[in-house]
Amino acid sequence: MPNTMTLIASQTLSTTAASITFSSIPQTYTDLKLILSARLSGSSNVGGTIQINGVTSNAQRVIFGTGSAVNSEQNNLTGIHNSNTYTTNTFSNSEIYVSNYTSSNNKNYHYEGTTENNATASYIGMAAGVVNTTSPVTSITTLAAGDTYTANSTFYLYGIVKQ
Amino acid sequence: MSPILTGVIASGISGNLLTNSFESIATFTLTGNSTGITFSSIPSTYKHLQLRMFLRGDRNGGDDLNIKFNSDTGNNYSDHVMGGDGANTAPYGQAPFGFIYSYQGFPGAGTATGLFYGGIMDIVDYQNTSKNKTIKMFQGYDNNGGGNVQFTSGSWMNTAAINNISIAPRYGTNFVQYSQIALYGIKG
Amino acid sequence: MAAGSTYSTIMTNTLGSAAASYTLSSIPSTYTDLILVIDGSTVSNIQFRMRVGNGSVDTNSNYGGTQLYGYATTAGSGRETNATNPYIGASSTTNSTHIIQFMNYANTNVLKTWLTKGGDMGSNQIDLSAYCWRSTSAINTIQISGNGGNISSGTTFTLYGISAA
Repeated sequence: MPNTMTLIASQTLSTTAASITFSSIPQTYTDLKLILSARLSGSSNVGGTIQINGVTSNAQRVIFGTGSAVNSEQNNLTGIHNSNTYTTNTFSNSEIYVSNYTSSNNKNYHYEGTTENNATASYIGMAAGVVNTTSPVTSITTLAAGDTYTANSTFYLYGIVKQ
Repeated sequence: MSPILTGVIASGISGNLLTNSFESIATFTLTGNSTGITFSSIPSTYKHLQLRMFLRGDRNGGDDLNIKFNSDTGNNYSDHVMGGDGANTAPYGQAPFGFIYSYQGFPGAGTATGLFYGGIMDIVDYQNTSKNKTIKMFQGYDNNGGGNVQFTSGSWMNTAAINNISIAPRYGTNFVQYSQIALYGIKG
Repeated sequence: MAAGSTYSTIMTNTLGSAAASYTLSSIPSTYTDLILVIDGSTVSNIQFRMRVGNGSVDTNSNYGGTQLYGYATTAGSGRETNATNPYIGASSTTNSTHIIQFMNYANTNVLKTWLTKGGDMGSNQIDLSAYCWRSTSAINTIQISGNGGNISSGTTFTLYGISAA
């Protein structure tokens, strides 16, 4: 049975960082999947943005829950992560899926992410977004957007097979 | 002019790629009724886990899922839901609680014969002893006029590595024949 | 224990010209689940829709689905019952990603359940849904269409198979 999902690279933070970049991404896969387990140093739970080839995501449609409501909005924040107000030692569980990343189309992606908290309030959401670059994806950056990721935040980039 | 990023460059990627990162660990497919499914002695050799679930119960109208880790029966769990029931959005949050659960999660007696729920649960960094364990779960079923779809988060507030996962109907009834849970490991 | 490669590409195709629909056929029954990734657009603001079947797609009212969506500033939930051409997600001339997870697609003892997620910036909508094809036949044919318009050239369909131990 040919091929499979392949880990391209990973990063575990030993200290805080404002962003993580995966560069020189091989062009030999069909889709990319970035898995994040992150926590933010500040007090906001919505603090991430994505850049592809250095271009910031210009827009995404988000649906999110708070534990007591479900809302919809448009923004460019690709990151729901635990803040410093959430339960200690608890990190988000998120992924960004970039389909057909070597194409000559603008780069669209699917995002889903969850925080968790020992309380009835916690953020969870999905988003559909697009980054206006028609070049094949060679780098992906996830930024904490005015904040920093804490130590022990982890980031894994996988390639999904190409036939 | 591009901003200067004061962050981490994770890789200048070249060679030594870890292939076969997604592997099947174990699968339970029921040939009859069962009060639950447990994966024990989960290998420590992966970074993340994924459970792919296909479930039906025998309780009239369906049941909720009861998910626990490492046989912990204490109030050490939380969960939050973003869902829809076909008419209204269905948010929910609870903590602390005795397990992670999927509210009105899977079909049972009284729903269309042969109808099963689909669910995909991702557990990231399940071996990381610096982190409580956070899961996300995309799930649902449709009964042609009933059913729900949910995106759920959950937490086991314990930094221990996960070596055991149990999934059972909440109200103590059974999963029925053809129900299946497959556990996969993802390397990192 | 681990079985080796369990996540495989079955087929992938990019439309060379706009088309009313695209069909994936002769899908092997040897996997446990399928994942279909649609990356593309349509010629106007319409919808992606999908039929499945065994040999040929079912065009009868044998589909139902439960949806959660976000559109503009509204989050809501809806349903399709007795549908003949079930909904995947919104589409437009802007490229979008839609991911469909078929669970136990080849099991001839059960009805067929799938989960979809995805959204489109041009239509300003994101959708999550759970659907059922009320048939116990194995799925070996999937047809994607644009509801009321063509799927754009350059749209890619990639089908992956997941194999359980």
